[in-house]
Amino acid sequence: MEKTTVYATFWERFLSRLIDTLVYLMLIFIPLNSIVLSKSFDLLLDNISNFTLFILIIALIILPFETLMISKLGGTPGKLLIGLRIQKTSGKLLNPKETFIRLTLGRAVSGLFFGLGYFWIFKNEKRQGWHDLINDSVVVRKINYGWLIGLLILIVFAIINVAIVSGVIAGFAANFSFFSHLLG
Amino acid sequence: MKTPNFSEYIKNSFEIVKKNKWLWIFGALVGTGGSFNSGSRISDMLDKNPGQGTQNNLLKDLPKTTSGVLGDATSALSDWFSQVPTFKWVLFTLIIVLLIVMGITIALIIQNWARGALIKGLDKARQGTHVDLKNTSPDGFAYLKRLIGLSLLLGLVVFGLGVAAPFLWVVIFLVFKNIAILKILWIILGILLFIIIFVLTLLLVTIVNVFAQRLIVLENFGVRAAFKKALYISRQTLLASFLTGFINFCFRLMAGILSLVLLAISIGPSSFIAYNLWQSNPVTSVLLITLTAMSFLVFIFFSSCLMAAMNVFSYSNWNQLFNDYIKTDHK
Repeated sequence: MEKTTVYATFWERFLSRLIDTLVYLMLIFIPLNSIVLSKSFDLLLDNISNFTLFILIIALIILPFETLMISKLGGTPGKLLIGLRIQKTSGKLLNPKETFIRLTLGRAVSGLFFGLGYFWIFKNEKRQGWHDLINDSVVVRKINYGWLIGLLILIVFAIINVAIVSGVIAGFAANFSFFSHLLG
Repeated sequence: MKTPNFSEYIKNSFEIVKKNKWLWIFGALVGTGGSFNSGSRISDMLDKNPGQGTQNNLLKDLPKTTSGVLGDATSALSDWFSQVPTFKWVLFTLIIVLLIVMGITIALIIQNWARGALIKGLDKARQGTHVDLKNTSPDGFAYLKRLIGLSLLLGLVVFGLGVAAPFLWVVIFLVFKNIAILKILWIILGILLFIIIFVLTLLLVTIVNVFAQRLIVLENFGVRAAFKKALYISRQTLLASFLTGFINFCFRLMAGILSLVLLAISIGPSSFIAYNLWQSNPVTSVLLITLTAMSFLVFIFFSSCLMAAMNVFSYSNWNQLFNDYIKTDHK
């Protein structure tokens, strides 16, 4: 019997993007701790430069990383965790070139007019956004209750992020005398 | 070439803009990242990331120039800068250059995909074919490589001109430097002459670009062949092209004025009232400020739609001029 394709909803896709965003934010927040705990001006500058370098490296590798993930596995970590798969309408995975186009040109197209292209998912019968339409791709659901797993994962990552940010704030408060001295 | 019927152009373009809203997407993206026909833009970007040696020199100079003003903190900062290991500077520079190259590549892809899709989409719309994102997007990809090639070629031409013109000016200045009258005359006339030549060449390059893009997309030309043929067409249709460009400019200007009027209407009165009510009725004032912010967002939305539509309108006029040339004079 032929399996029917179930297309992922806007909210499922939004959930997967939120998970990805929280993972990336976590990567950014962790090294912030070293900055707020700096005890000397030299160390502070060292940590700020390391942090900047780290952010630049993340910015550089994030696109190749996502391209590789989508073209080889069918989704970014968030999508894979909740059982979504990005594929061509024919069912094949996108090749790296198509994935790169989706991630760059696709995002530019969907981001136009306050992200109207993303909201197009509500309107299209195959739940395609403008970034899907430009290279004939769809996002399909492979697990039925993936959103539930996703929601749990989202909560876990949100808690981790809040904990990290709290740590950063606590570190800043503990080291406040150094910063107030620095600012005169 | 016969004088084009511009009123017909305008009427047809408005009709196409009104009926084919999918084309607005391409219209919104054709201006992404500015024009890469200007090579100087690329070189300007690269100049912002000087080599490590230059950075170190600047940093060594810091105490002399700024520590007197900013005191010990600046001194400590420059000491720290000089202690940063070389590999870190190299890594910084490398990553930033890579990010810039990546950004330029992405902008080139977006811009040229939109151009190709818009030119072809307008042609389809003119023939009465239904146009949407799905059936027009492949056209953008089909001509992407050649349109990027054209962008780079024209960028090189402008860059070459930008380097050669001042160089020539300096050479002639050096020849005249011992003759006071000629020197002063050259300073005034030379600058004026070069500005005029530069502006005219830029206009010509823009017109060549317009025709070359259409030769690639609508007539399936290669980059070099399109460039040569576009140069020829530009000479043949110079007046008509200037007029088309002028019409497009006027409509853009009107759209710009309309945008300003919309902005004034959408946020002007409410922000004025909010400002005056701030002391006597802060709650109403805050509500009005929120309303103003929302109106501003609505304005941004309509303004971006208007600009996208104007780009489609301009491209449509150029397409009609090109088609008229190809049909009446060439074939």
